[in-house]
Parts: sequence; structure tokens; C-alpha cells
Amino acid sequence: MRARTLLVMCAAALGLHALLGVWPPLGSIDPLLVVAVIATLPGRPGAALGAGLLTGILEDAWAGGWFGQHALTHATVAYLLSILAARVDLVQLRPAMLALVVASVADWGMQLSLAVMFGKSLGDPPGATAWSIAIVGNTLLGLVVRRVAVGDDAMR
Amino acid sequence: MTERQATIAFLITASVLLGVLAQQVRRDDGGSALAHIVRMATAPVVHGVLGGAHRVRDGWRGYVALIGARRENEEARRRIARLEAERSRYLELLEENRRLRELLDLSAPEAFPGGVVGRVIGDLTSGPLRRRVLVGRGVRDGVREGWVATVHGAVAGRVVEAGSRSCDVMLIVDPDSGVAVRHELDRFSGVLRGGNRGPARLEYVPRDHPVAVGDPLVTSGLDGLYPPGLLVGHVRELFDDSPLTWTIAVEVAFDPGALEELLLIPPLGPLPLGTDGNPS
Repeated sequence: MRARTLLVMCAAALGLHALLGVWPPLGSIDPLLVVAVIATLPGRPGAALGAGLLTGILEDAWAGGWFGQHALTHATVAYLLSILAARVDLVQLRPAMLALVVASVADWGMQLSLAVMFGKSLGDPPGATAWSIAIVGNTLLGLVVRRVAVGDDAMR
Repeated sequence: MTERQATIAFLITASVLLGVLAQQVRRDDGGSALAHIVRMATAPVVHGVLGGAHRVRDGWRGYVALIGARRENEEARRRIARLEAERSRYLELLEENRRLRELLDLSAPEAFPGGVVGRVIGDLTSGPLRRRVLVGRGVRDGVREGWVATVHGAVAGRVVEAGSRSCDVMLIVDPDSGVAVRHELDRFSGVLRGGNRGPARLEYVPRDHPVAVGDPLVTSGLDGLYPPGLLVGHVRELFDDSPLTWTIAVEVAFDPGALEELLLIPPLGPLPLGTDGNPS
């Protein structure tokens, strides 16, 4: 994915993030994570790490709280998926869907793990509905972004 | 960027981000999460090192304490032994003091101004016919031959030989002893002879005198040796050895075998004074 495309997608994802936040249930959807995942599909670890780091920092700046939390989770997810993508073709529809599902689960899982590790109270952790919305929303949004990226020939 | 380089970059990035995160998190104890993680990671090593150091320190302290305790124990044992000896000495002195108090209270120096208290330092009894004791007072203490030995206000004997620092006292239970006595109630008198191992005897007592077992006998002073009025003993048994007289067995008022101190007084000195100051 070209850097310019990535930046445009990040900007769009931020805007979408703001819109989705209007209706709280959809706030579980993470457009920036979706962008990072789509950026990993070509299987270039360096680019994927950069994309994950960028989207994570943007998300940290957007969401507030601990700075670096999303940067770490996005970068980790993107790096690991890129390692996988270097061996398995994740650009195809089904592998891409699976990657989006796994990435959604892994991202939240790591965020919860970090909270536990640093002694932060989980309060009322996200329930099955929130998990489902996040996974389905991220996957659907990811397929749309993938379609745009493929159409833009950005998946090379 | 190769996969290897990306991996290194990822590890560095992840580490930096974890450090940034940990530095932001403040724990309840006021420390940062980073410091907490570092402590958690190094805890086993620190515990091992400190635990070993503590064990060495505790062992050394225990050894030092043990040495100290042993010394204290030895010192305590010596002290206990010393205190035991002092206690025995103290009890001995206490008992002696009690005896002397009794002696002096009953035959007070005021009653016998020239009296001298002497300790029995030897038993001169030899054979069946001598009942004498050696007393640690002599001519240097003012004691002379013929002085009367009393104990607890009762007559015990008489000084028959006075040395410079000691004297021989013939007890009234000696067969050679004779004491002029009087029945304290009926006032008849007689001469008490020592019975050595047995009771002293008062012989030739007319049978018309009422005598009962337990009646007290005191010195009469008629012999010119003993001051009158001193207790001698009590009637123990009556023997009707003839149709006209009694022979009275007398239990002397002291234990000849348990004499420790005697009050030596001049013969026929002033009469013992009662509490009202009159002769008793």
C-alpha cells in the first residue's frame, strides 16, 4: 500500500471513527485497525509495522488515555499478520475476512491484557454484543476498504 | 525491509511502547508500573541474594546470642550457687538469732546484768557418768567457776571449770550434779540428782505432800549455788519406794542433747526481775 493511500485511508478512518462514535454501539468498530490490517495483507512486515504504528498512534491521540496502548496493539497485530501474510495469501476474500476477525479479537484481547497487566480496573468489560459488533463491523468495513484498496491497486 | 529487520524493529518498537505505557501508569503505592515490572522481574534474584545475606546475618546473630547466652548462663549458675550459700548462711543466722532472742528475752540481761551468752562448742560427755558441755566463754569474758548456766530461763547446769576462753558446764542431769529445788506449788524442797541418760530424781519426798505429774519444780537457792526461782523441770513420774516418802522422776526443762547457746550468770546473783521490776 502506498504511503499516500495509507494516509488518506487513515484520515478517512478518523472521520469515520468520529461518526461511528455518535451511536455508542457502533463505537466498538475500529476503522483505524481495519486500515492497519488491510495494509498488512500484501505481506510486507516493515510496511505493516509502520502502518500499525501509525494507526495506533492516531487512535491513541484520538481516544486519549494511555498513550501507546493502541500503537502497541495495532503494531503487534499488523506485524504478526504481515509475517503470516508473507507465507499465506491473505489478499483473497476469505483469508482477508479471517485476518480481520482475528485482528479484531487480538486487538481487544491485547488491550484487556495490558489493562490487567498494569493493574487498571476493567470495570464493566465488553460483553458478547460489543465483541460481536466489533468483529462483524471491522470485518465488513475491512472488506469495503479492501475493495477500495484492491481497486486502487494499492495491494501491491 | 527484510523480515528479520522488521522483527527487530517490532521488538524495539514494542519494548519502547511498553516502557512508555508502564511509565504512564501510576500504581497505588505511588510507584510506576515500569518500576513494578522491573521489581517483579528482578524479585527472584533480589530475594535470593537478600535471603542468603539475611540467613548469614541471622546465623551470625544467633551464634553471637548463643555465646552471650552461654556466658550469662555460667554467670547465673555461679550467682545461684553464691546465693544458695548466702541463703544457707542467712537461715543459719536467722535461726541463731531466734534462739538468742528467746534466750535473752526469757533471761534478759536486765534480769541478770552480769550474764554472758556462750555458744556450746563441744560435748564433754564421756562414759556413763559425765554429762558436760564445753562453752565458748571463759575467764576473759568474766565467767568464773560456779557460774550457773541457764537456757530459756531454766537451769541447765553449772560451770565447774573455767579456762581463759572456754568453760566446762556440768549439766544438772550429770549424776554428780545436785540442785536444791522446791515444789513451786507446795513449796516443799529437796535435792535433785542427775539421772544421766534417765530422768533426774528427787528423793525422800514426804508422802504427805500432794504431788502430781506435771507439777513444776524450781530452784530453792538453799544450796548456795543456784539462784532461787529458776525453773528446773516438771514431775514426770512418782515412785512410792518407801511407806513414808516418794521418789520423783523429774523431766528437766531443756533437752541436754540439743544445747546450742547458754546464758551464764553469777551464782546467787540478783533474782530475775519480773516485768514490774520486782523479783519474780
